[in-house]
Amino acid sequence: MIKLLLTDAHLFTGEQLEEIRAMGYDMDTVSDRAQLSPDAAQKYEAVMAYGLFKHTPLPYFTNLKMVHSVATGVEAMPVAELAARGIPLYKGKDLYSIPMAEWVICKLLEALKRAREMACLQQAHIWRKRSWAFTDGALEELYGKSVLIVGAGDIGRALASMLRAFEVAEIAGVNTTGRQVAEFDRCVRFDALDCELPKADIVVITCPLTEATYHLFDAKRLDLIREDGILVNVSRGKLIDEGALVEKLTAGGLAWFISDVFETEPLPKESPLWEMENVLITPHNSFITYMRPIRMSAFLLKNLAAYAKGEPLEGPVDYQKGY
Amino acid sequence: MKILAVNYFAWPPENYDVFVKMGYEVDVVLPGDPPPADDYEVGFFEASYMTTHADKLKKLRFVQMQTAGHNHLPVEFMKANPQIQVCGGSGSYGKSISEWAIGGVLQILRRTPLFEGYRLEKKWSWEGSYDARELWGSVCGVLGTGDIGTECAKKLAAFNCHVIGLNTDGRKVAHFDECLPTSEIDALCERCDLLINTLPLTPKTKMLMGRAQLEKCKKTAVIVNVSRGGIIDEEALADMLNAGLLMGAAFDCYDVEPVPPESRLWDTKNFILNPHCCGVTMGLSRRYLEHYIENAENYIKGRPLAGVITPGRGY
Repeated sequence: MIKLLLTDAHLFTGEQLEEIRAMGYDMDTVSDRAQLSPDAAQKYEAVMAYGLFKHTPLPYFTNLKMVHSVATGVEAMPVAELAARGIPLYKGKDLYSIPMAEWVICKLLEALKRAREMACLQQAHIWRKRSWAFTDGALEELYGKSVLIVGAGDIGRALASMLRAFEVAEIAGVNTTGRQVAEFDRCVRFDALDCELPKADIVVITCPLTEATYHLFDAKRLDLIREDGILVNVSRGKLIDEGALVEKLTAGGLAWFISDVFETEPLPKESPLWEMENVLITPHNSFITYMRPIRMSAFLLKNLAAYAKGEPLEGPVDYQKGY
Repeated sequence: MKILAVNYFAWPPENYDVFVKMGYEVDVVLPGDPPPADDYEVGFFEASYMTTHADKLKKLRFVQMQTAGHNHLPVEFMKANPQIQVCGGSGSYGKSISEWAIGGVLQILRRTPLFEGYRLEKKWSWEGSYDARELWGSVCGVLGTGDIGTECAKKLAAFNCHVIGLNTDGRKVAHFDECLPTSEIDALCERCDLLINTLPLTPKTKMLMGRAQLEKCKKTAVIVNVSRGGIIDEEALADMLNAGLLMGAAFDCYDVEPVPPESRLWDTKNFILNPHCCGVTMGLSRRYLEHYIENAENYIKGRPLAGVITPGRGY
């Protein structure tokens, strides 16, 4: 029997929990904020959790052989300590690319079709057609736009394949090595980012947050985005210097800012981003639909089955890259 | 050879230079203006302008319109004047309207009105997030398999959807996974996660989606109307949305336009009301110009015109 500690048991149905036990796991379920004693913690060979190690220190788990994040990120996990102890860490892989890519398409279309303006008119029972006679123009299209996707991973790829159907002019991707990825017209290395930014109508940030990408979009880079451009952040708030961004938005330096993530979350009430007309925001829920627990539990179940059989697991964290 | 061009598009005068280069003389007027002369051979204007003024234009031989729906055409006048070839704009609206239709679907699925409400209160909350749905893998019914329907189908395919087209005889059309005849509307409503109406309004399509059909839809269904009012029963739809019997609806066209201020549609639950302009985009304006250029060139060179409308066919 494999001793397994599981938080977030609510992700699973009762049947699935039975299935896990039948695989050969002796499983305990606790809250992700549980404070276990060293004696309780030392029993476990495998931990499936997220923020648990902030509440029960990793050194208490003296017999640990595997850690699995119940999220697709590992920011709340003691990655360096796990690496030092040589304990493999796994995370959910490609679970959110569909809902997040759909969220990006949804928000882009809200901006281009002026959904917020129309909703305000609807609320006031006012029928006012947008037309070419408006000084700021009629509605816009995705058709023919140039898109730059920073980060050509699962989310970027899903987004690129959806955007393709809208007949955008070009989909360029940015990744670490500049390797070509099928869904993109072309991919460039990270150090070419500054040359690409002025060419794009739409810039979408999907790359992970690491030490190297903290404030990747500082004041200087933000200024490379076109004044009529749209910036979308669906990754992590700390990739953008939010103060510099607010300044740019206030000065009319960007057509739209669309974001699900912020430097401080929950977004503080005093942030001007709440009320800016050309800012579309959601409370870091772009990855959530009714499918989330269904996809996540199916993935975790598959990996638990593989672990029990000694087979390779999906979604290993690369300790060199840190994600 | 003279063109009378009605400028609906706020185009600058230089947009018309290309026709002068082709050998035309061009008079540009605004939609409210009468024709400044009566010797135009070519007209760039819409059905209402034709209805009001065309009988005075005795030399008129070719009219280029841009609307895709032809239920306002002066059919009797056209039948009495077969020397005038009237060309439609079918093919211009597909891209812009299908974008809006997909956007409308996604906003309902992702519950944009709910989260916009939170934003206005500066409320950071996931409440309701798990009721959001995905387009990915949906079964989609597209009523009408013309340009707009086809553009919708192409985009839906990128979301891994199974797309069922509905047309008069159920003939197979490219980009649709299957097609059903209009007589199968009930079955379509039962099967689909979302329904997009792109049909023209004709006696055969009138009230095609009545209360009985709407009641066959799934409780999670999303209904979109981007073509004409009169095809989907608005009263039944509003009743069902308010009762939570459908996930939501996004409309651009209505039985009565403008929608009267006292209409219940404005405040219907999970209903996105757009004031019949979803196809009017900056991109469309550029494509219109290309379309005018193409047929003006065909006409002056004596080549067959594209998109000639048969009066009385209704689409």
